[in-house]
Amino acid sequence: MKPGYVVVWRLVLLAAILAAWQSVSSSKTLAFYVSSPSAIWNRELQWIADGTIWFHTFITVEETVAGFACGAIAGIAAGFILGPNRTLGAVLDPFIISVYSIPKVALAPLFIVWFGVGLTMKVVLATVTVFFIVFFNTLAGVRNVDPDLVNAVWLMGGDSRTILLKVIVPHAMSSALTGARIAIPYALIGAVVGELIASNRGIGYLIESAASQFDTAGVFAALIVLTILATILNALVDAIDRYTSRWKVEANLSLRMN
Amino acid sequence: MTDVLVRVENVAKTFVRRGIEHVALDGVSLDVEKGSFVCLVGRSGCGKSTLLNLVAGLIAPTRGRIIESGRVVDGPRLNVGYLTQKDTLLPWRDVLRNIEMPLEIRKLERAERERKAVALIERVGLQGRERAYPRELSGGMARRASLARMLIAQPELLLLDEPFSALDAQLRQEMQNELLRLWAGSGNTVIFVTHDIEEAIAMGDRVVVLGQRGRVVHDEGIALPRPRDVIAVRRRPEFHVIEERLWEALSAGSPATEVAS
Repeated sequence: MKPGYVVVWRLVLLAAILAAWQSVSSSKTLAFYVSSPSAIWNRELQWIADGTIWFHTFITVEETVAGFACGAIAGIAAGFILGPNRTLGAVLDPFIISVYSIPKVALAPLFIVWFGVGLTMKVVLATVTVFFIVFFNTLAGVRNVDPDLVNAVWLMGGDSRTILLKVIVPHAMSSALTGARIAIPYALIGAVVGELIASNRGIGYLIESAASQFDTAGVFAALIVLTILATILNALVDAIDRYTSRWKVEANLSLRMN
Repeated sequence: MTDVLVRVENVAKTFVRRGIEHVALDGVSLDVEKGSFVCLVGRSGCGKSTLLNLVAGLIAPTRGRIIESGRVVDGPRLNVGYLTQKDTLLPWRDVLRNIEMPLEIRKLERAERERKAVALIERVGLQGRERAYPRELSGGMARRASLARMLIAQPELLLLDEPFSALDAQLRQEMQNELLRLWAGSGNTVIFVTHDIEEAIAMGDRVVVLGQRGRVVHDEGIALPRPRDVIAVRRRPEFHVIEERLWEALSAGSPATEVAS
């Protein structure tokens, strides 16, 4: 099928879904549960007009970015510290694995006690989620350096510092970046989950507060904002992926079926 | 008397794996003259790669010693180039930056490095591929890049460990001629390890056959004229006489006959 047809069929499918949705919602009872495309559209327009959308989106983006940055930096640092140090790694292994195994949502109540219900708690939740993904990837990168590459550089006259800077770091950085790429959407999950649990702003809060008032149009409107945000983040991931991994054989990570 | 560049003196090398001793080399002695092209032939497991690793200084002998340029080898040296069967180009660097690598380690200026690398890229026929990453290269091109990376540091001693054995027959011959062309007139000393007798005769000034544990079982000079073409040289009648002799030496030194004797 030509690419042009794919786009046409996508639009046809979208229109069909919206039409079906709209016709289902003509029933008052069903409209309570699923709202309707027109009501959701009106809600979006209203939110855009009064600035609600920008305010909450900005908060969520802020938490996501801060959480991602903290988690990625901490994960890379920990990977580089524990990577070459096998003994320390072996000692800490069960502790790290046990903390990693906890579903991060379960930590949220504790973080509320520690950091309150403000922005910090969401950032910490996102940080913890991102940290482990980046950490494990960096660790693997540091440990899986091909010994033949190390020998080759050694034979060229490279000392241990050269080997670290020119072989181990670039090799590990590429897998650290892979981890970071995977972690970007998880940072968003961490932030939104934090907002859903306890907050008075952010997209998660918008969903939660609309749902508590049985305002399904509001819930869907907030979900659409979240979808757009996630799509933008995924596109960003794809762009970073293409830029950083041209030398790599592995397929990129984009979630596409075609 | 001709200059000896590398002298292997009664060398033994033992590896311990999981508590069990493996003797890779025992009682190996060999002199390599300066400027010569010496081929070491032996079956797999005869310790020829181990011997090359010892000369490179990558590992230390258990007994005996290796002297190169009058000094006992105790580690890698800048005047030695090493090419292994496996490509060890850094996958995150493009061809140009890979070839520059040895000069980068020597802290040469960027412009100078680049000038030398570009000149060498031309000599090995990789023009137009400067910005390609190793994974984008064919097997032959990757070999050329590895060869260029080794030559850029202008080593006097080249250690080649089955450098072309992973290539198809045609490409192998092409690369063999390429290497002979690059080596001709350079004055470099080459120790070329292979399990292919024909390759050894076509390339070398001298072929040394190694038996079990790296013992030298046969050592002969190859008087075929240079410059050589590795394909044409195979058609010479004396080529087959030498080949016959080396085959005999190789099978005489093989494990099966050693057990019987």
